[in-house]
Amino acid sequence: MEEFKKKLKKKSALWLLVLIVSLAGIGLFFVFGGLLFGMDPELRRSFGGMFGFLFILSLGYYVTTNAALGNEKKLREAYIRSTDERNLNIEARSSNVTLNIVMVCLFIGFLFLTLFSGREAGTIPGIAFYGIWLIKSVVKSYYNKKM
Amino acid sequence: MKNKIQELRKARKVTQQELADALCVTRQTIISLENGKYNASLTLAHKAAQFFGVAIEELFIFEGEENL
Repeated sequence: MEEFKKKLKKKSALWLLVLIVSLAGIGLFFVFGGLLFGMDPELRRSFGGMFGFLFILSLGYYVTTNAALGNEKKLREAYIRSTDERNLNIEARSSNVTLNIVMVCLFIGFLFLTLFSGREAGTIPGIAFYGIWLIKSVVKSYYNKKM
Repeated sequence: MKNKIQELRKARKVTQQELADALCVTRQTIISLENGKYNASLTLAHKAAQFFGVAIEELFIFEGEENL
Protein backbone atom coordinates (compact mmCIF):
# COMPACT_ATOMS: atom_id res chain seq x y z
CA MET A 1 0.00 0.00 0.00
CA GLU A 2 2.95 2.34 0.72
CA GLU A 3 4.17 1.87 -2.87
CA PHE A 4 0.71 2.76 -4.14
CA LYS A 5 0.65 5.84 -1.91
CA LYS A 6 3.97 6.99 -3.38
CA LYS A 7 2.61 6.39 -6.88
CA LEU A 8 -0.51 8.45 -6.06
CA LYS A 9 1.62 11.29 -4.70
CA LYS A 10 3.59 11.36 -7.96
CA LYS A 11 0.32 11.33 -9.92
CA SER A 12 -1.03 14.16 -7.80
CA ALA A 13 2.09 16.26 -8.51
CA LEU A 14 1.74 15.49 -12.22
CA TRP A 15 -1.92 16.51 -12.29
CA LEU A 16 -1.05 19.73 -10.45
CA LEU A 17 1.52 20.46 -13.14
CA VAL A 18 -1.04 19.78 -15.90
CA LEU A 19 -3.51 22.00 -14.02
CA ILE A 20 -1.02 24.89 -13.94
CA VAL A 21 -0.06 24.41 -17.60
CA SER A 22 -3.71 24.31 -18.68
CA LEU A 23 -4.47 27.46 -16.66
CA ALA A 24 -1.47 29.19 -18.24
CA GLY A 25 -2.69 27.97 -21.65
CA ILE A 26 -6.18 29.39 -21.08
CA GLY A 27 -4.66 32.67 -19.97
CA LEU A 28 -2.18 32.84 -22.83
CA PHE A 29 -4.47 31.87 -25.70
CA PHE A 30 -8.02 32.64 -24.61
CA VAL A 31 -7.69 35.71 -22.40
CA PHE A 32 -4.55 37.49 -23.59
CA GLY A 33 -4.14 35.93 -27.06
CA GLY A 34 -6.12 38.66 -28.79
CA LEU A 35 -4.88 41.59 -26.72
CA LEU A 36 -1.17 40.84 -26.65
CA PHE A 37 -0.51 38.75 -29.73
CA GLY A 38 -3.41 39.72 -32.00
CA MET A 39 -4.38 36.10 -32.49
CA ASP A 40 -7.26 35.05 -34.73
CA PRO A 41 -10.44 34.71 -32.55
CA GLU A 42 -11.22 31.29 -34.06
CA LEU A 43 -7.76 30.03 -33.13
CA ARG A 44 -8.07 31.55 -29.65
CA ARG A 45 -11.35 29.76 -29.05
CA SER A 46 -9.92 26.46 -30.32
CA PHE A 47 -6.86 26.64 -28.08
CA GLY A 48 -8.94 27.97 -25.20
CA GLY A 49 -11.31 25.02 -25.58
CA MET A 50 -8.47 22.51 -25.65
CA PHE A 51 -6.82 23.95 -22.55
CA GLY A 52 -10.24 24.31 -20.89
CA PHE A 53 -10.89 20.59 -21.41
CA LEU A 54 -7.43 19.79 -20.05
CA PHE A 55 -8.12 22.04 -17.03
CA ILE A 56 -11.42 20.29 -16.17
CA LEU A 57 -9.84 16.86 -16.65
CA SER A 58 -6.76 17.61 -14.52
CA LEU A 59 -8.83 19.32 -11.83
CA GLY A 60 -11.05 16.23 -11.55
CA TYR A 61 -8.09 13.86 -11.33
CA TYR A 62 -6.21 16.14 -8.92
CA VAL A 63 -9.19 16.38 -6.54
CA THR A 64 -9.94 12.61 -6.58
CA THR A 65 -6.24 11.69 -6.19
CA ASN A 66 -5.86 13.98 -3.19
CA ALA A 67 -9.12 12.78 -1.69
CA ALA A 68 -7.74 9.21 -1.84
CA LEU A 69 -4.44 10.33 -0.29
CA GLY A 70 -6.19 11.96 2.64
CA ASN A 71 -8.49 9.08 3.55
CA GLU A 72 -7.42 5.49 4.31
CA LYS A 73 -10.74 3.97 3.20
CA LYS A 74 -10.70 5.84 -0.11
CA LEU A 75 -7.03 4.94 -0.56
CA ARG A 76 -7.80 1.24 -0.20
CA GLU A 77 -10.74 1.57 -2.60
CA ALA A 78 -8.50 3.31 -5.15
CA TYR A 79 -5.85 0.62 -4.68
CA ILE A 80 -8.36 -2.17 -5.28
CA ARG A 81 -9.80 -0.37 -8.32
CA SER A 82 -6.36 0.07 -9.87
CA THR A 83 -5.13 -3.47 -9.14
CA ASP A 84 -8.35 -5.42 -9.73
CA GLU A 85 -7.46 -7.97 -12.42
CA ARG A 86 -10.86 -7.81 -14.09
CA ASN A 87 -10.56 -4.00 -14.39
CA LEU A 88 -7.05 -4.37 -15.82
CA ASN A 89 -8.29 -6.97 -18.32
CA ILE A 90 -11.16 -4.74 -19.40
CA GLU A 91 -8.76 -1.80 -19.76
CA ALA A 92 -6.32 -3.83 -21.89
CA ARG A 93 -9.02 -5.31 -24.11
CA SER A 94 -10.90 -2.04 -24.59
CA SER A 95 -7.65 -0.20 -25.44
CA ASN A 96 -6.82 -2.85 -28.03
CA VAL A 97 -10.29 -2.81 -29.60
CA THR A 98 -10.30 1.02 -29.60
CA LEU A 99 -6.93 1.07 -31.35
CA ASN A 100 -8.13 -1.41 -33.96
CA ILE A 101 -11.28 0.64 -34.60
CA VAL A 102 -9.20 3.84 -34.90
CA MET A 103 -6.86 2.10 -37.34
CA VAL A 104 -9.74 0.88 -39.51
CA CYS A 105 -11.27 4.39 -39.50
CA LEU A 106 -7.92 5.95 -40.39
CA PHE A 107 -7.43 3.46 -43.20
CA ILE A 108 -10.89 4.18 -44.62
CA GLY A 109 -10.22 7.93 -44.21
CA PHE A 110 -6.89 7.54 -45.95
CA LEU A 111 -8.49 5.68 -48.88
CA PHE A 112 -11.41 8.09 -49.29
CA LEU A 113 -9.33 11.24 -48.98
CA THR A 114 -6.78 9.95 -51.45
CA LEU A 115 -9.44 8.82 -53.92
CA PHE A 116 -11.64 11.90 -53.78
CA SER A 117 -9.47 14.78 -52.60
CA GLY A 118 -6.07 13.91 -53.92
CA ARG A 119 -2.82 12.68 -52.48
CA GLU A 120 -2.16 15.69 -50.20
CA ALA A 121 -5.40 15.31 -48.24
CA GLY A 122 -4.76 11.62 -47.59
CA THR A 123 -1.21 12.15 -46.35
CA ILE A 124 -1.97 12.83 -42.66
CA PRO A 125 -4.37 9.88 -42.12
CA GLY A 126 -1.95 7.73 -44.15
CA ILE A 127 1.02 8.66 -41.98
CA ALA A 128 -1.11 8.21 -38.84
CA PHE A 129 -2.30 4.76 -40.00
CA TYR A 130 1.16 3.44 -40.84
CA GLY A 131 2.65 5.20 -37.79
CA ILE A 132 0.20 3.51 -35.41
CA TRP A 133 0.73 0.17 -37.14
CA LEU A 134 4.51 0.56 -36.81
CA ILE A 135 4.34 1.57 -33.12
CA LYS A 136 1.97 -1.33 -32.40
CA SER A 137 4.39 -3.77 -34.05
CA VAL A 138 7.34 -2.45 -32.03
CA VAL A 139 5.37 -2.57 -28.74
CA LYS A 140 4.13 -6.10 -29.55
CA SER A 141 7.66 -7.29 -30.24
CA TYR A 142 8.82 -5.71 -26.93
CA TYR A 143 6.18 -7.63 -24.94
CA ASN A 144 6.93 -10.81 -26.90
CA LYS A 145 10.51 -10.62 -25.68
CA LYS A 146 9.52 -9.53 -22.16
CA MET A 147 6.97 -12.29 -21.46
CA MET B 1 -14.69 -22.79 -16.28
CA LYS B 2 -17.26 -23.42 -13.56
CA ASN B 3 -16.63 -22.54 -9.95
CA LYS B 4 -18.12 -23.08 -6.51
CA ILE B 5 -17.44 -19.58 -5.19
CA GLN B 6 -21.08 -18.66 -4.67
CA GLU B 7 -21.85 -22.03 -3.07
CA LEU B 8 -18.94 -21.85 -0.62
CA ARG B 9 -19.48 -18.16 0.08
CA LYS B 10 -23.12 -18.72 0.99
CA ALA B 11 -22.27 -21.79 3.07
CA ARG B 12 -19.80 -19.68 5.07
CA LYS B 13 -22.26 -16.75 5.30
CA VAL B 14 -19.80 -14.33 3.69
CA THR B 15 -21.08 -11.37 1.67
CA GLN B 16 -19.75 -10.57 -1.80
CA GLN B 17 -18.21 -7.36 -0.44
CA GLU B 18 -16.46 -9.20 2.40
CA LEU B 19 -15.05 -11.73 -0.05
CA ALA B 20 -13.99 -8.95 -2.42
CA ASP B 21 -12.20 -7.14 0.43
CA ALA B 22 -10.44 -10.32 1.50
CA LEU B 23 -9.24 -11.05 -2.04
CA CYS B 24 -8.39 -7.39 -2.82
CA VAL B 25 -10.71 -7.21 -5.81
CA THR B 26 -13.87 -5.25 -6.55
CA ARG B 27 -17.32 -6.64 -5.75
CA GLN B 28 -18.03 -6.59 -9.47
CA THR B 29 -15.24 -9.11 -10.00
CA ILE B 30 -16.83 -11.46 -7.45
CA ILE B 31 -20.22 -11.06 -9.17
CA SER B 32 -18.66 -11.83 -12.58
CA LEU B 33 -16.82 -14.85 -11.18
CA GLU B 34 -19.99 -16.21 -9.59
CA ASN B 35 -21.95 -15.71 -12.81
CA GLY B 36 -19.25 -17.49 -14.78
CA LYS B 37 -18.64 -14.40 -16.93
CA TYR B 38 -15.03 -14.05 -15.87
CA ASN B 39 -12.27 -16.60 -15.30
CA ALA B 40 -9.93 -15.83 -12.43
CA SER B 41 -6.17 -15.64 -12.92
CA LEU B 42 -4.02 -18.25 -11.24
CA THR B 43 -3.13 -15.77 -8.47
CA LEU B 44 -6.74 -14.91 -7.74
CA ALA B 45 -7.79 -18.56 -7.94
CA HIS B 46 -5.06 -19.38 -5.42
CA LYS B 47 -6.14 -16.59 -3.08
CA ALA B 48 -9.80 -17.68 -3.30
CA ALA B 49 -8.91 -21.30 -2.62
CA GLN B 50 -6.84 -20.21 0.39
CA PHE B 51 -9.71 -18.07 1.67
CA PHE B 52 -12.15 -20.99 1.57
CA GLY B 53 -9.53 -23.49 2.71
CA VAL B 54 -9.98 -25.81 -0.27
CA ALA B 55 -7.81 -26.93 -3.17
CA ILE B 56 -7.95 -24.89 -6.40
CA GLU B 57 -9.39 -27.84 -8.36
CA GLU B 58 -12.20 -28.13 -5.80
CA LEU B 59 -13.13 -24.49 -6.27
CA PHE B 60 -12.65 -24.21 -10.03
CA ILE B 61 -13.86 -26.97 -12.28
CA PHE B 62 -12.09 -27.21 -15.63
CA GLU B 63 -14.54 -28.49 -18.23
CA GLY B 64 -12.29 -29.68 -21.00
CA GLU B 65 -11.04 -27.74 -23.98
CA GLU B 66 -12.06 -24.20 -23.09
CA ASN B 67 -10.61 -21.46 -25.30
CA LEU B 68 -8.39 -23.96 -27.11
